[in-house]
Amino acid sequence: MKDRHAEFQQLGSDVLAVSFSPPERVARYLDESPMPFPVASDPSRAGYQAFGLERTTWGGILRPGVVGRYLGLILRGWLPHKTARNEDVLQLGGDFILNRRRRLVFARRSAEPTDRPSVNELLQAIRVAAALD
Amino acid sequence: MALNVGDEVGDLTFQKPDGGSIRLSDLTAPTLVLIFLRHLA
Repeated sequence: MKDRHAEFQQLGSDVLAVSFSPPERVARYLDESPMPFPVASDPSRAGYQAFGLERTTWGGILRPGVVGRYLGLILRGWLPHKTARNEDVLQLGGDFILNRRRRLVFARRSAEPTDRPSVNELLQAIRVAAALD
Repeated sequence: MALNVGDEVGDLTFQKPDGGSIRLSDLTAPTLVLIFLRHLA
């Protein structure tokens, strides 16, 4: 995503990433891994709850399909990082797109940790939203 | 009740890393991609 942020800008889209980690943790993360778009903090998880994002279980993370997808990511160059102490590794994420009237036009709540839409899928959803606006 | 496609999203407020706050209304582009992360690496 961060390597293709310009494509989102070209389509007239803002991007905001939200973490449930506290602001100081997000700041440290951004010092090590700067992002071209803002990253905000939602430690109360009010946003996570509003968008219906749930926590999975260890069983959900260690399912063979999920482990296999992580192995595939590793083979493509992704390296897992050690998580900080107290990071909630069971919280699932999600990707959403809002139109100019701030109506939800795309929603993908991760069913398991590797379940995220591709960048191409997000870009296409933005194009569709713009065409319908 | 979780938001569904078609629902209007309220002006949620989040905290910026520098201690300030950011509201969804601060982002004014025609579309907004909102990515809720899992844990930070």
